[in-house]
Amino acid sequence: MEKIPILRMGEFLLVTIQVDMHDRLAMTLQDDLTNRISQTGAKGVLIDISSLEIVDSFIGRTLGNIASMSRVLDAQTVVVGMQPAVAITLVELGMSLQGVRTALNVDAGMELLRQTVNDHEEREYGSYFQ
Amino acid sequence: MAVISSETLPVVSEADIVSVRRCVRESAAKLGFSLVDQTKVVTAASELARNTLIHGRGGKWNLPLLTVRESAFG
Repeated sequence: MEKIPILRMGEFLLVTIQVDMHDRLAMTLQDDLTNRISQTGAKGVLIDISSLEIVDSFIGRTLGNIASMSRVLDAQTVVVGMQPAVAITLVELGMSLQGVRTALNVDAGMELLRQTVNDHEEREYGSYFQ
Repeated sequence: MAVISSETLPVVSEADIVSVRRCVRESAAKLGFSLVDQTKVVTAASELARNTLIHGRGGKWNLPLLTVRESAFG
């Protein structure tokens, strides 16, 4: 069965979507990612959608679900590389991917992820180290 | 109005949604739509094809390209 590879880099998981997303593939990615987060204890997930030519309501909802599920499993999600035409279409469709953090490119996304994870850990566990 | 070309695609599986997207993308590009407009049309087509599959239990996608005289808009 076709799958989207999930790469591990330190405490982060990286996903680059480079194929036409059909619905089952999106669902498989959602399942695989949640499993990998729980197995590896990853603190962040970076999803690169720069090759996605469209994001319709289903793909948008799936990205939102992935972000919510990661959050419940104590991992932060950042979606990077959205094409401008996709951003325009999404917003005009009335979907602004609420709850999904985004960054312009992989560099900015990794930086945001590091920051978010640090802030989160300080807030959660900061008092133990004082 | 005259039909330039007409394409019919089955919509009976999830892979067909991807085919519909591709077909609509090619047609929109051929007609000279901007990238943003192509993306909007393809997104709309994707939603329609999915609704056809999930709520309509499948069907056929027919995409005729028409020429319309400009005066028709005037």
